[in-house]
Amino acid sequence: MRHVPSPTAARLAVVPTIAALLLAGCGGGGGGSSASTPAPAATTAATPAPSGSSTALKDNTASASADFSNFASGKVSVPVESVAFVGSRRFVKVARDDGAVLFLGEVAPGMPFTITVDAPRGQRRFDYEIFSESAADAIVRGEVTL
Amino acid sequence: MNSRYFHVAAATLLLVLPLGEALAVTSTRLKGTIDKGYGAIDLLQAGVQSRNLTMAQLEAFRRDNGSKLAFAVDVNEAADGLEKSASQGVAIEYARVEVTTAAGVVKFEQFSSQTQSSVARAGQTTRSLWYTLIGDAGSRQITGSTSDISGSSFDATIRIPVSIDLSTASAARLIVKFLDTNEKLGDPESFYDYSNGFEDVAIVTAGDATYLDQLAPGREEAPLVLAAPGTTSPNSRLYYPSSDQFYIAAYEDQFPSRGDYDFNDLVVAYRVYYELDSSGNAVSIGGEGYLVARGGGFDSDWHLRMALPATAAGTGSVTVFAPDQLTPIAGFPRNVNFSGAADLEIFTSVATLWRDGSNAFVNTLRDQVLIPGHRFTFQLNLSTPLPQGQLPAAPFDPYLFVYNSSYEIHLPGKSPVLGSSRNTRDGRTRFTDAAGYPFALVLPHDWRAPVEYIDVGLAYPDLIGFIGGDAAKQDWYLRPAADRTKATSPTVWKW
Repeated sequence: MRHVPSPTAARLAVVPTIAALLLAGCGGGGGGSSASTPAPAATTAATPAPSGSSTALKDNTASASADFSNFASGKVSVPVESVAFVGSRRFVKVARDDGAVLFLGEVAPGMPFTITVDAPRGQRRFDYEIFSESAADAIVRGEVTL
Repeated sequence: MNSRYFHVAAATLLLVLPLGEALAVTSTRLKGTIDKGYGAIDLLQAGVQSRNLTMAQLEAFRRDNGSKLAFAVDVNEAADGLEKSASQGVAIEYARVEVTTAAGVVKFEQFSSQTQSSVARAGQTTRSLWYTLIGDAGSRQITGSTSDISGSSFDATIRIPVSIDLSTASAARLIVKFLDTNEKLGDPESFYDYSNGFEDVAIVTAGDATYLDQLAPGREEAPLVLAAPGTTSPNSRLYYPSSDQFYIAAYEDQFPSRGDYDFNDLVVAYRVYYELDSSGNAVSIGGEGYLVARGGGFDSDWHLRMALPATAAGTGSVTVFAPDQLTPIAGFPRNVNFSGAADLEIFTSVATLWRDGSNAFVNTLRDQVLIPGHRFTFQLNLSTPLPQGQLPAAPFDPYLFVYNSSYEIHLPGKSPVLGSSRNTRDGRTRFTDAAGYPFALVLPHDWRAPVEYIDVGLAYPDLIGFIGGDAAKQDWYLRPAADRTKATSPTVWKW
C-alpha cells in the first residue's frame, strides 16, 4: 500500500504565525461577496514542530510536503486459482476488516484476481472470501495485510 | 436509466376461451400478501373485492403468459444497511402454485425470477444460487391502464409454469417463502434478507410482466446480481470507497484566497463503482451521492471527473433527484457522451438548487435543523472494456467551479480542466493556500461538517496532529468536538 505513514516521519510541521492570524478573517463560508485577494506564495520552508496550543488551521501552517490524504490505496490479490471447488463458477468478496465490502462478484476461475483498494488510512487488513454456486463448496476465507 | 413511464397498449387483454367466452384480463392486485417472508395467497381473491377473479380468468392469465402464471411483487424491505429506498432485495426459498381439481391438489413447484444471487441461508456458511426479487420504493405509472398495478410500486416478477387448464379447477393459490439468509456473513446475505414488512402481490398480464422485467427497478444498485441463466450481464462490482460507504468531499470556496477553514462551503458525499466483466475489465462505471451541507455564500457547480484514458469512449447518463424523492428533477436524466475523460457536471448552481427557506446556508448553522439534500446517480457505459490498470484512481477528481470567481477548486495535486475557468490564465493551478492547506479535502463518511465559521482544526482537535504526521491521529475524524460540528452523519443525509 502506498502512502503508508511512518510514525516517525513528520509530514507537516505546524507553527502559529502572526500572518495567519492577520489573514484569518478572509472569506470562507460567510458573506457571499467575492473575495479576490491574491494568496501569497505557498510556504515551502521547513517548519518547526507545533509550539502553540491552538489546533486551528488558521493558527498554524503546513509544510510543503504535507499530505492531507485520508485514504491510501493498495493492491489485494485473491488466490482464486488455488481453490478446488465442485461448482464451476467462482465468486469473490473482498472486505475491509470493519466489514465494508470493496468487491463482490464473479471472477474468472483459474487465475489470481487482483484489485486496487482505497481505504481509510490505518486500515491495512483486508479479508476475502472465495465461493461458488454450489452448496457443496465451503467458503474459502483468507486475509491480506498491506 | 429506464423510464418510469410506460404505455401498455394491452394491459387489458381480451382472450377467447374454448367455449367462445371472451374474458377481459387485467393485472390485479391480490388480497393476500407475503408477510414475514411467507405468503399463502388465494388467487381468486383480489385486493378489491369487486375485482375478484374466476378460474376462467386465471386460465386466461395462464394462456396470456405462455402456459405460466406471472406474479408481480412489491419488494418492501427495511431501508437499512445496503438496502435503501432505491434498491431492496429478497431471495426466494420456494414458490409454487397449488391448484385444486376434481382429482385433488396439483402442485406446480418450478419457478423463476429475473435475477439470482449466491447467498447462504441462515445457519449455514456455504452459499448457493437462489432466485431473487429486487425493487425500489418508487411507484410506476402505467398510463391508459385500469390495472391495479397502475401507479403502484410493484417491482419484480415470478413466473410459474402451470401445465393444466385452470378453467375447470375449483381453487388456486400461490405459496411463496422468502429465504432466511445468514446475515452474519454481511453482503450479499444482508441485502437479500427479508424484514417483517409485508409484500403486495399481483397476478399480471404478459405485457405488464415484461414491462417490470425491462424496468428492473433497484437492480443497478443491488449487490451480486446474477442475471437469469444464459445471459452475459456483468455481475462484479469494485466499489470506492466501499459498497455502503461514501467519500465526503469538503470545500473552501474562496480560492485562491484563504477562507475560514470550516470546510463546509460545500460538502458532497459520493461513491463510485466499476462494473467488471468475467476477464476483470471494466465495462461500465456507476456512482451515486448526496448533497450534505452548503455553508458557502458563493454559488458553484459540483463536478465529478473520471480521468479515463484518451482511448476510452462511451455513453451514459446522470440523474439528479430532489431530496427524498425517487423522481428526477427537471432536465434529468441527462445523457452523457464522452471520449477520454468523463467530466460529469452533476450539481449545477448548488446555491440555487438547494436552499433551506430564508437561511443563507444549509445544514451548517449551529441551531439549524438538518434537511436532506439532492441525490445523484450516474452510469457510464464504456464502448470497449478497460483493464483495471487504466481506470482512474480513487478518490477521482471531485471539483467545484465557482461562479463568483470563475475559478475551479480541485484536490491538491489535480489540475484545472475547464477552458472557461480563470485558473490557467491567472496561473492559479495549485490548490493549496499560502499556509499550505488545501481548498478541498476527501474524508471518510463518518466525518461531520463543522458548524459555520468553525475552523476544522477546532472542530477536530486531532486533525493538526494527523497533518503533522502523527500516525496515532489517522482516525482524527472520529473524534469531533460535538459542540463544534453538525450531526451530518450518513444516517441523516443518506436517504
